[in-house]
Amino acid sequence: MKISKKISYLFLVTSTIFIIAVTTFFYITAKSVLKERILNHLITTVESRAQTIELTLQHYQEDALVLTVGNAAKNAVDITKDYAQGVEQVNKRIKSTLQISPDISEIRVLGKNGIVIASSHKDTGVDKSAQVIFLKGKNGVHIQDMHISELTGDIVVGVAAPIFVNDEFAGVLAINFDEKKLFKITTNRFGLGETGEIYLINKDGYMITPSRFAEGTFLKQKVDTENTRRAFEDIEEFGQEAHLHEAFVYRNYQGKKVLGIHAHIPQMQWTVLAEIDASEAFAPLRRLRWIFIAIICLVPVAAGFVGRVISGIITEPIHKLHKGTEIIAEGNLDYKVGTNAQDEIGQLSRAFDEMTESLKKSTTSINKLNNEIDSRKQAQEKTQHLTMVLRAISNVNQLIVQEKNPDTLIRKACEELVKFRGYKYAWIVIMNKSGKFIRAAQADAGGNFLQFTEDIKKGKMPQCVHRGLKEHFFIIEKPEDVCEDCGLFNIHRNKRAMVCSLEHQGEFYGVFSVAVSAETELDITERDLFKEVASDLALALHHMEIEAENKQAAEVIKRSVEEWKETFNSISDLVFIQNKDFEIMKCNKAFMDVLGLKEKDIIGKKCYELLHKSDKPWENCPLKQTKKDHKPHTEEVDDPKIGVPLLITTSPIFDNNGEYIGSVHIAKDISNIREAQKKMIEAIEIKSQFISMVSHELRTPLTAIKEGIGIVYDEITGELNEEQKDFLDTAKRNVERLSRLINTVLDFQKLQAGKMVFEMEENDINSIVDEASKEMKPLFEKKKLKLEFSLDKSLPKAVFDRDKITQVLTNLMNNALKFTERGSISITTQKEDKAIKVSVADMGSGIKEEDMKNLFHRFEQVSKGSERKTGGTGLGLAISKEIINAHKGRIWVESEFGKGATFSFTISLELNRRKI
Amino acid sequence: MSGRILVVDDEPDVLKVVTFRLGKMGHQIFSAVTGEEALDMVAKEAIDLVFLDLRMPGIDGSEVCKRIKSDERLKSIPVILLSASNASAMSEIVDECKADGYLVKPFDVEDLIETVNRFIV
Repeated sequence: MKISKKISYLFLVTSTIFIIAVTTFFYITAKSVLKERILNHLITTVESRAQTIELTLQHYQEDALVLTVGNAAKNAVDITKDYAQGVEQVNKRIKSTLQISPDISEIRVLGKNGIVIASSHKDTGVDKSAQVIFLKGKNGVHIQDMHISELTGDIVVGVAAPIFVNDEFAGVLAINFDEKKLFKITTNRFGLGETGEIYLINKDGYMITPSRFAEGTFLKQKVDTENTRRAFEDIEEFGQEAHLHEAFVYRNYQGKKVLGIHAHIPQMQWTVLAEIDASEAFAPLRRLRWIFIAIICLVPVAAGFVGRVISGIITEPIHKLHKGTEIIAEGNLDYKVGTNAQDEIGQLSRAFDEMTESLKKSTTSINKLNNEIDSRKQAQEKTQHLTMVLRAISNVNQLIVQEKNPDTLIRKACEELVKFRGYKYAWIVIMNKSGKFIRAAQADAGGNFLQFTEDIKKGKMPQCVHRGLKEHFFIIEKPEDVCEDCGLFNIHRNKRAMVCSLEHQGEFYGVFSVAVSAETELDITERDLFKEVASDLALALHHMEIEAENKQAAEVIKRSVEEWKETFNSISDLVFIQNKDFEIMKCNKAFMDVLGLKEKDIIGKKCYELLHKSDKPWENCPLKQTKKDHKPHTEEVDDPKIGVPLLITTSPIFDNNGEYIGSVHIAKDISNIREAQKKMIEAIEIKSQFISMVSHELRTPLTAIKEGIGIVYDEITGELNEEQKDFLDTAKRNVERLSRLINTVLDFQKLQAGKMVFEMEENDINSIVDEASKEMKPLFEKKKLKLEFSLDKSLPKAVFDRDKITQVLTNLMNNALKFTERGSISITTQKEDKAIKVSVADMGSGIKEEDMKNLFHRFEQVSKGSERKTGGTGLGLAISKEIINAHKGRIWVESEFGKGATFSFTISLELNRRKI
Repeated sequence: MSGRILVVDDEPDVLKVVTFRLGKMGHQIFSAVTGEEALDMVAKEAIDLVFLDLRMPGIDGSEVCKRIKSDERLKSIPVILLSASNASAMSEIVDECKADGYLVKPFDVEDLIETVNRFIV
């Protein structure tokens, strides 16, 4: 708790307790004083009123006495004096007295016998001898209780006094005083506040002064209250003696709660009652109470405020000082508290500033020292820390050297790192080049790791793995670095993790991660060491992979060697391998079987010694060629010593440096093949002859037919009519068609048999195109088709058979013509690499894709049935292909069905002039 | 211009139509059905032009041609070979037997007339 608060609370509590105590004390004291004052005031009031009443009564008596001793009265009752004169005199006196004293209501003089002699009222002559006034008045001054005058109806106090003449009783003077004077005394509410009331009650307890609150109470209102009861008790106890009473609270005749007191007027047995409404009487007390309550309530607030102000005043410099110390504690020794106050705190702050100044000075030196110590300590810690890391690394390295199993390696590596370096966890995920999960290991990563690897197996690459592979190394600092739904998300909390790819020479093996707590720094050395471990692990994995590959390769080699051996031995041909000196190094089983020799008898022997029983290589042996030019050669060898014709194929064998070291010698018994070949050649010859013969046999009659028709047609033998000529024309055309067919068949047969002779001469392809076009021009015109040319005039001359290429071109143009109904046909020549290219593009029906592949095969024609229309043999393109092949070119078609076709062929520019 | 033309062919029908056609052109026609007969005819008659079928029983066309061309007296007589072989094979044979030309059966009458007109001026 701050000092200011402490002071505030302390002040608040102390002052509140103190003020409450003082206030309470004062309240109690003030209350009793006030109460006493109120009571005293009431007492004083009631006493003074009582005295006034007594005094009034005394005045009444005196008034009466004055009149009695006066001559008028005396003379009136003096029997010795003239009665009438006396009466007149006294009446005058009465009159004047009444005039002087307004209090007096009635005056009458009674004679010795009680008869009214003179009166202020008309009752003269009335006998009042039996009345109290006379009877009491005879004996002395008597004051009669208040009553209502029979004559006037006023409320009066009667006073009677004896009249003496010559010291002898001569009569009674009776005066009725109007009560108004007494009433005035009681009704004067001075000192009684708003609700106060003073009234008199007679000895019977009836009210004899008017009530302030009720009418007609005179002698009618019986007052029986706690106060009157006490008053009467007092009278009983103390008699007529004066007695001081306490005021007290009770319910008055009206039932109101009042503070009241009584006083006695003994002479009349009256009691004066003074009452004031309790609430009014005690109003000051109540006010006082409220004031005190207010004070009590306000005190804590005021005290709190004052306490705060005071604490503020007191603590502000302290606060400044405190702030100063904080700032200084943070290391800012240049800070000055700078309090100007002249009090102790001020002094303290100045002393503090001075101290800071000197502290600053000493700090510099201490800092130096500290820095030195710190750096040593840090270095020591670092060394210690790095020792741990190095130990972990050395353990991992040991593992790398010892472990052969990658699963064990990565698992133990994780364990070692967690155990010796104190990493919070470590994990390794190994993947193949295409990112497919292979294996994983972890230490202290818990069950969450399973989820993590499951995700990777499903192909969901966690962000950290992805980044690790991409960036090679990074540190997971922020939560965003980890996928929210990652299995490892929870264990990443409050941690910092290094992630590094396992990479060796650009090959990725996986991702590796270790974590420390969030407070732990990962300095550059540790990062580097971590990377080092990752790199070492990658290297180890790389070696393991290579080893595995090697093992597999060895396995494969072993298997293939076996397979090779089996294969080698199962070859029915006679195979042997020999070195440069014709010595046999290896041979297969067939070879041994044919020779009837064991391997040991063959190996190391020269082949010609063993096979040809000769001291030098066989004349036609391809081995000699192979040895010379290091190329494979095949020769048929007919050595009578061997007995069967052999097809010998020799292939060179080179060492790794490309040096010729020997040959493989494969001998195949070709007696069967020879036989078959012979038969085949014969068959071909027969076929060829047959075709040739058939063609000849067909041509000869055709000649006769053609000429015969020609002679008739030409009308050499006589004139023909139109119909005859038309039919002969049909016959002529079909003879021509038949002879074309024969030509084509024979051509093809020749090409096939390789008997076609090509006249290879230097020619200009553009001129060939020109010529062919001229030839065909009438046909194009007949079909109203345009013939367009795009000829490259800069084309070099090429070596080709003019007639054959013309044949190809004509064939293509004929095809275009056949299949195009309108539009144009364009012929293009251009250079293409080391060849010239000729294209014939038509706008015909095009060729379906399925037809294209067979187009250049013999007897093929697109869309069966079109033959009738085009009248082809189906050999045109096949022949063209053969011709172009002979020119080392190629022929092809590009077409989209319904949009025409483009046939192109090339002729190599590298052909020699010769006959082939 | 009328000439003396020898037509040699073992096929009588071919012989018939050719001689007929040439005869109609106004030439004097001699015909032979064998090589021997042809050689006799060439030796006996003063022939201006010979149409000689290659394939014949006995002495075939090429032999006849060779003999004519190797005979100093006869070699100036133009010999046109008639063949049922393809044209592509003909140039070689023409060279070999030093013939003066060839016609491939069935030949066009235009070619025949053109050939005759070439040699008989």
